Amino acid sequence: MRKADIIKNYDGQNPFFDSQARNFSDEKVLKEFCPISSFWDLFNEQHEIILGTRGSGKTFLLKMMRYSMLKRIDAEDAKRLVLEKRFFSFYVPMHLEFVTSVAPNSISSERRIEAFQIAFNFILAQSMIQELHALTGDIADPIEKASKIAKLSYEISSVWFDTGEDTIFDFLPLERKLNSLFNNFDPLSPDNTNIPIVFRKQICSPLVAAKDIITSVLEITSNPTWLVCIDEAEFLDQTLQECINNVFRSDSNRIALKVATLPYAHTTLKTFSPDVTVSAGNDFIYHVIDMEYDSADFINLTNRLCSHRINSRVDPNLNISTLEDFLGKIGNDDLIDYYRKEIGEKNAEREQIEERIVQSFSPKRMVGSSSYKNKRKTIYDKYATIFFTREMYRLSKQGNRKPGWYAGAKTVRKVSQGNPRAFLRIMNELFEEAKRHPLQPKMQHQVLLSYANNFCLATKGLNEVGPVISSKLEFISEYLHSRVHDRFLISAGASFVLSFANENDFSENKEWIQAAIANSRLIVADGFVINGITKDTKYLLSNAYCAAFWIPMRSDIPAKISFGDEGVNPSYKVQTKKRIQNCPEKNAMDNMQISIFDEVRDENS
Amino acid sequence: MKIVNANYSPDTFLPEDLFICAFGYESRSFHLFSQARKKLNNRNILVFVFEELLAARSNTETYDDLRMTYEGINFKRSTYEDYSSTIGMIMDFVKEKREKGIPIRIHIDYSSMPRGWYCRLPSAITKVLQEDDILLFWYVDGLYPDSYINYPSAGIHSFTHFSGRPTLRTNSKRLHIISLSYDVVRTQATISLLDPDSFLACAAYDSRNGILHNNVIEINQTIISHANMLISLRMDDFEFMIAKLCEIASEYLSEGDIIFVPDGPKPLIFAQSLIPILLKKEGVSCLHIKRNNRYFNPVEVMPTENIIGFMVK
Repeated sequence: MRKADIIKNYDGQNPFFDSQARNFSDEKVLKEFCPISSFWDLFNEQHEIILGTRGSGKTFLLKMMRYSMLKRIDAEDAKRLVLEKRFFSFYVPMHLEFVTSVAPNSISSERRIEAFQIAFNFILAQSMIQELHALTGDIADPIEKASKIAKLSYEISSVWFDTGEDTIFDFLPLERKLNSLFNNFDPLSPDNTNIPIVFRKQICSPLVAAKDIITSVLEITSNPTWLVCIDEAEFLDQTLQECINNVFRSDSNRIALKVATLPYAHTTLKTFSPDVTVSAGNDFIYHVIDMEYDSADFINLTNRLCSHRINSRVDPNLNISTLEDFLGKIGNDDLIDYYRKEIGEKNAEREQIEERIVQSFSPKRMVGSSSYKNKRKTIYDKYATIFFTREMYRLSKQGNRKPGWYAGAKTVRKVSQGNPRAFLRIMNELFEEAKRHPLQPKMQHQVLLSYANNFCLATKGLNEVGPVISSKLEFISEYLHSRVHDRFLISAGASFVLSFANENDFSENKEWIQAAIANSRLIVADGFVINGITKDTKYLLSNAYCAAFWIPMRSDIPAKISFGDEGVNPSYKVQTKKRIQNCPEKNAMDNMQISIFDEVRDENS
Repeated sequence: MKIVNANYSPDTFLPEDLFICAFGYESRSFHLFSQARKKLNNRNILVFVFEELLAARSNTETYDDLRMTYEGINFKRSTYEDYSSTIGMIMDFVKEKREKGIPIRIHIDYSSMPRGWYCRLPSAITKVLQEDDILLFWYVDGLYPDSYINYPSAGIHSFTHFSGRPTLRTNSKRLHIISLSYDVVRTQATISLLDPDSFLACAAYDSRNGILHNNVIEINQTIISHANMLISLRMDDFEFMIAKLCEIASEYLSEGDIIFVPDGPKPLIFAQSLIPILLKKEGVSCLHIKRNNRYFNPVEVMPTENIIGFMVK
């Protein structure tokens, strides 16, 4: 039974509305956390650069690494980590407003580095205090707890602040002191002598200064590794990345950096020493965390998000444990099941499909196919997906016919492309639809197609090269579409390689291609995410684009695509007065919107 | 610093007033200048001419032509990015007049100035003003073509910190206030880059022209649907814009940092940029989006008769 149908006429808030993990409270992060295999792998002594596309869950993972969160996870691995106390993590976000305010481009590189190090150390120190709250929270005896807090605060403040006259015996005055120093710190001033010396040194110096105090006072005997989890590192330019690389190259002091950033955003291997660079594999390792849509991790995660959100926020009696429970399932939720539903049982027999596939071949291939051995494998398995897509597309063009094709949990996961945020956005729209109509396959199809179309439209608005990505992907998608839907059925899919006239042509196109990958429009193997693309890289069009352009979501022998003489033109048109005809459908979230129109001052006030 | 609305009329300018403006690509950059010139002494007028404009016209005599045509007016060359020396020149100009000891009235037409200039002027100039002096900012509402070609911003490198300071809070929410304009692609690019935790969408309009406002709202529906809230403000009531934005920032500050990302019409950019300076609270900051110097397309904007102003005390 499709449990989504119970949602009809539900007038509460959509439980999938919030998809931005950074906005989540610790409580919320904890409740939705589904440890994926990558997560436990992060607890190691290596410096790591964590690469993941937008919405892939980097922030979630880094936040969950903190001791304050780990000790609340109900999982054996978490309990072991808490018990062993071999790793302690601190969360240090590099928000854009933080980075640009503390290291403005108007000052010299040397002063930027100095200012950044100071500010970084302040934010790290603040994060350390937050974790100390959690560490001391384990102490049952209140007197012992108060005593340890006082000792920690006093000793840490003694090594951090060289004024000497302050006596700090609690975390709150320690935080206040940090805030006060930070608020009075002027990055434009060349004189930083008012900043305590430990904050003026290399990043992580406050941790180096305080870690032995922490282990001593809290009687931690495990000689732990301290993990500094730096989020949003894509906002650090090359100069500031050198600060991080410098730590990679330095004596570790039992400190490991986990640096989360977008693909291709780590742009330099330089350190402060002109002759010294860091090397991947030796000084640090890259770790790609994007999930495959059909991986056990993503299936578990989507089930967890679906069940948790609906059970906790809508109705616990719904008792949903999987995405399939919510969306319902046709047969085994395979393509053939949805095809059969549209075409009818009789026309969906395997032998019939095989015959129709053969009839769709070119005359030459049709003749040749009669000699194929094992037709199940050579015809059905190889061509069925393409055949189904052709047929369903043809159906969709018939008058008012809307096939229930893009439907079911497997397809939802495919279109999400293994991205948790994309999944939540799709679920948001499906839930909204479920409030109005039974969520039959046809309705699911409409929602998924609408999502896919909006995804494509939104490509133009991606930063910097959005208009280029949009026009290039449209060209590629139409080309691949025509390969699938033109006269004869051939082995075709979403994979392709690009043909470049010369090295210059490749360089000119590299920027938009990498941006497309970083924003989940194109998929490549992890090696190309880590090392960069080459002229021979094989690409897969994202499944959202495949849905929008009716391309089978499968890899195949890649098509070779050339843009010809068309250069890279980033321009776009801005409309001012005329109504936009192709404006995306009004999002169903309007009823959640508080809109203050015509704010007019009360003339009497 | 106190801000009150000012109403423009042809009698606004008095002979000994000072007038400062910038000549840019847009025809509206000359509009107030031509009116001020009829009333003011030429020596009290300071005009900045952009090097980019001169280069675009490929006419190295243009600057000298201007000086000859408008004899006595103070012309200065400057570049779009160079706010530091530009503000220095403005300060020198004001101080020179200030030395005469009589109260001065300063009019600044910011219609064609880059935000890096005009947003800094209130703080800079008020430092040298006396109690009886008056500082007025004017904006000439413009008529844009029905459509025009534009280029994306330059990504992360486009964003600079303008005012305020974030806190060291790592656990709390952050709220961005994102401005809307006709350029949906630009706004979407801003959002895709910032990837905000949550955001308010903010639009400003001239209350005398509700149609344009409805256009902006309609064009930005997708963005608005992802926002926590839409705020529409009348840009012809600068004082109220400031008050409302301060109120919103103060209200949400308890939950986390507030980050203004101004764009759209200049009065909205101006108002949002001033909020961190006026509020003086940790956790309220403002980012500016710079022009993309790699790709730039000048757009002709004709002046309308709607002139919006405010006074700084």
